[in-house]
Amino acid sequence: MPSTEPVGSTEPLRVSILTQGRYLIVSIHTALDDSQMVRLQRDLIDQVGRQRSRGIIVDLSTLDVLDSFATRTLTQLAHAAQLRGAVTVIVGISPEIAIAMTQLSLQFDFVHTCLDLEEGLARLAELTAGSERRASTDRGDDDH
Amino acid sequence: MAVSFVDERERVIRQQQDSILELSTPVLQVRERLLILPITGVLDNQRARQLTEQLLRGIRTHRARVVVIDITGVPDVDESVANSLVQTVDASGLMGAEVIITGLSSEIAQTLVTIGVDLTKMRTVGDLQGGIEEAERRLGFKVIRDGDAEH
Repeated sequence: MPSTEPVGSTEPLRVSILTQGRYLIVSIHTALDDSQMVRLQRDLIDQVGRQRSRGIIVDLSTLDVLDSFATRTLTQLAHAAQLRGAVTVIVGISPEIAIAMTQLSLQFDFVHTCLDLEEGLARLAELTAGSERRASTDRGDDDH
Repeated sequence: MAVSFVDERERVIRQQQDSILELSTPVLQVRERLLILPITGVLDNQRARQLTEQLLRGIRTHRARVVVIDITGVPDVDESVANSLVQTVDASGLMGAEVIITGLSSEIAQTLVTIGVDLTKMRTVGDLQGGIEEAERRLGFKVIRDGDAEH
């Protein structure tokens, strides 16, 4: 008899998105397939807008591989986030993934990369302090 | 049976080669968050790969933010090794570390320019001392000698 898994509560948690002040912290727990990556991208952009987040940290430390689709999707996420006023920091890239990415000439754009969550939060603080200063002096034009 | 004896010897030789390679490219922490990777001798592809792996593991272990790779002791590099160095710089960046390369000989400088390596990705400083000083500046260290007048 074919069993149908109810979608939702019994599925293992693949991604968690936590709010930390004006930042979103995204942890990817298992490898995501293409459609899940696209959905994550959409959900994150929505949340950035709803919560007026200033920064996103994407933690990839549990991943063993990162393919070109994921790299492109994360770049698009970061670009869209930037358009909505948030900077993106990616953390937790392992040595193996870093080497594989450079060998395949994969790279991120619109993204800062840091070693881990602690570094990522420090970087976000630096990056968003600047834009808060700019906002408070009421200048119309940003060069970044 | 003769085949497996040869295999075993080959395995031991490979293992020893790996040990030699690892010992010859030490990754050294000289300040908090600052690593130095002094390279001497011939730099071939295998060594460049091995060095990259060791460096990245070192970046993770020591949570390094700046790495100084000194190639004073390397006579020359070919195109694939030069590209490998660029990859090392890129991979380090993905792990949050900036790389400063020091000690380029005039041969290597010419090779890099001739090959057309994307040098905008590579920060180079003439010598190791200069590289360390710049790294310290980036990390917010200030070195003051006893006896120097302050202010």
